[in-house]
Amino acid sequence: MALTEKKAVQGFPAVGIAQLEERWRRSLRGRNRRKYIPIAIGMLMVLTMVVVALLAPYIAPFSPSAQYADYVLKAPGAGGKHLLGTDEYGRDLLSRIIWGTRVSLQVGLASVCVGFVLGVPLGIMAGFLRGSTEAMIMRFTDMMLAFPTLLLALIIVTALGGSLINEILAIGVALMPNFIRLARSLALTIRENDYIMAARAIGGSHLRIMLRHVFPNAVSTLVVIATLYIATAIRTEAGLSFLGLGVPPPTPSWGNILSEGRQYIKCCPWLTTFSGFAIMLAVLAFNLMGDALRDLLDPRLRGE
Amino acid sequence: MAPKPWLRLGVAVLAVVAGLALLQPAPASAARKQILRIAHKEPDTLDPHKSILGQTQALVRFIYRGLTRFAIKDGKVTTAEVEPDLAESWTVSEDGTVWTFKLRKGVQFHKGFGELTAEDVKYSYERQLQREKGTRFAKNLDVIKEITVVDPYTVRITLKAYDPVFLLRTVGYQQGYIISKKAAEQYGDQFGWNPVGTGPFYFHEHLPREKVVLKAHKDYYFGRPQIDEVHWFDVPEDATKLIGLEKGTFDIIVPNTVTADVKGQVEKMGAVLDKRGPGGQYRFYINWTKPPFNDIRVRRAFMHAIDRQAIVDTLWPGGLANLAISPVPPGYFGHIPVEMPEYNPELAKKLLAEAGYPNGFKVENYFITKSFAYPKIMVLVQEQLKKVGIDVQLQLVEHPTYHRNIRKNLNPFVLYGGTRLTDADVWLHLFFHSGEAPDPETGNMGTNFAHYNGIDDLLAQGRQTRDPEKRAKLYHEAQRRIMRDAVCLPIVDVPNMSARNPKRVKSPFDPEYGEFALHYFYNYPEMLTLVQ
Repeated sequence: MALTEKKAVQGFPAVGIAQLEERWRRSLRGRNRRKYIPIAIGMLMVLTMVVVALLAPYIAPFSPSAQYADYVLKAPGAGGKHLLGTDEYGRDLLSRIIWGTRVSLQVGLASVCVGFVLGVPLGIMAGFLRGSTEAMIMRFTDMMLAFPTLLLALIIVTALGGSLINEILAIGVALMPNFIRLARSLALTIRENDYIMAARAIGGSHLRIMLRHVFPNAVSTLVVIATLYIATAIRTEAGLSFLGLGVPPPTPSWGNILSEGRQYIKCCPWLTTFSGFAIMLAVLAFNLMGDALRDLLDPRLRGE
Repeated sequence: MAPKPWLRLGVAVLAVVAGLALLQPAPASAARKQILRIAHKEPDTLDPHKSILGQTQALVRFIYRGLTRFAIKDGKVTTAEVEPDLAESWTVSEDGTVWTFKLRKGVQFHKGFGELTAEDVKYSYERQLQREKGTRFAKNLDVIKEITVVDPYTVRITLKAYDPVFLLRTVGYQQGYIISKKAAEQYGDQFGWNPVGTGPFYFHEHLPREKVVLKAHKDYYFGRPQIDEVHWFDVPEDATKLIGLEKGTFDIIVPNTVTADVKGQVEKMGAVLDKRGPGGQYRFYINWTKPPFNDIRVRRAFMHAIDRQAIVDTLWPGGLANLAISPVPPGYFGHIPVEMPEYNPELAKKLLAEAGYPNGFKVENYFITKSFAYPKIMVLVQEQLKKVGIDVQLQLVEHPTYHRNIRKNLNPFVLYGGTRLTDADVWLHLFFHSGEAPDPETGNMGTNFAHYNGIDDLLAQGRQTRDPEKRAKLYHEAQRRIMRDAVCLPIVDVPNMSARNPKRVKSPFDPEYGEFALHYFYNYPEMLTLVQ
């Protein structure tokens, strides 16, 4: 790609093609192979999550909302059938955590998509068109960035009311400024390239250039960063649910299991431990995958 | 250099031990003065007529008294009968509309505000009747036409009409507290934190977000209490209260909610859970004007679909609360157990099919508050209703929003819990009289969420009836009618509960409902004694 070619030439002016190839091969053998371990682990964890979410009705031993009045707040292994114990309504914790995966994944993926779809066009416009358009979009973004993601999502959910869709919208909008800034900075670099000038010279409109040249060159980086924001979205969802603004009952989400378990932390720590653990694993999985992807797709290492 | 890590560890351990030692309460100060330490929430004011908060109503009982008080009978405090308090005796005219109270002589107000006179009684009631800014309980006194000071120790109250519960209104509770006229006029708006009453304790100081300090009133007319000082701490978290009780920082704690877990911890540390009736009754009102609930078969199906026993067993196991047995809870005058609908999902399904809903129906946007036991009961009920095909989509909202929405009739059935003056007349009027049906059009903020009008005649008769037995019979009939028309499903009677360290504080009443109290706390805090 043009962008990376230019960078490579600037970065290693004295290095020939043959040497670059040698370096690439060497790095694959040694240091770089180790790079695949976290990405493999991360991907495996994410894959597991997706499978668990999809097959929740078949994997979960009980219905996530079925209540057993004689099994209230029982420890893990109770009655030989509640592997992770039960909650204050006598519901099976394992089943709830399994079903909770659905909410977390749905919110994680969908809200990042919302943020991406809303933020990237604005960012590219700001970076490519410059001038007053940029000033307007960026000041608006700065304003939104003044609020932490969770707080912004909290304000939006409070205004709209708690439901799955509102939560997705709220977190998506809260993530939007991050995508705007990133897309703008990418567009700023890309617009200086010769091929953009060439596209202009042959009479390409702004819209066409942004769609056909700027966006495709920015998309890979954006997708990698989006992966990282899935982790943020999952954390924010848990935060919202913890504060009682997430999906309404009886739908289980890790955040509201954690929140409901908080008052029983002394007698029944399994409620908070396992739901907290699930959140931790999910965030870890997406962070591992995102970090590794970013390293792997770093332009300086793609020597070809 | 080997010992260095050990040295560090040693210092750390020492620091922790020293820190723990500092956490222990200093025993020296406690030995000198008898201080009762209570962990509750901070009151918003100490003006007894201006707050409906539970903690305020609990604390003002220390400071103020009324003309009458709830009677102590056979070692138990009742809430359906009264005995003299500030009034020594009273007489009532033939037609029951003129009450003459003889005041106890020599009753002293706190902080040298002088002796209680009929003027103070007149002032205390009239500031509420005149709807002075901030007063909350005027409605309970609206029956009064005129208050006359006959002489300093005699006050005559003329009513607009006969009122069977008038004496209950004069009890030291909410509207019934007598405050010092002199102090109220002197402090004006500042009276809330300069309270002056005739109760066993006087207000000493208020440290915001920390505690309120009360001291024993040495001229209290029933004798100075044994306790020298009461420290009322503001502790928001139940976990903190429990640790405090265990460590001896607090002698009595009032948890926000007493769960089985809290009960377990209290028992484990050897503390006592004092249960006071009548507490609050959680129940469903079914709005019989709202389709499909305007069909009695649907209402009956709703009732048979709800497993009340499972709700009590799940949320209040081990006798923490009682399965409700009537729409008027025990402890109220006129209460009688009536037959409750049994849990029978099959019958519920059959009734729904008969009513034209063989596959059930959906209730969208059902609002429920996040506070107290409301959301917990609703989560249980939601799952039970799902089994008969009624799909309720919950929307969690803040408590004030919930109260607004249920008065806009947005919920076809309303979950509500509460306490009122302990007479079926008051209770049934507020919850089942057609005049109390909430209506956003007219601004009626009543609590007859069922929009029921089937017992208006009985309530009107009750107002005319002097014979208590006959009056009670009317209310018995009313309770049966409410259940017959399937407009209300009583679920559980939850007592007011607090945990007490019996090694520090003794109460003369049995922890198991030895006391009935509307104050959310002990009815007679001056009867608590500290162990030397």
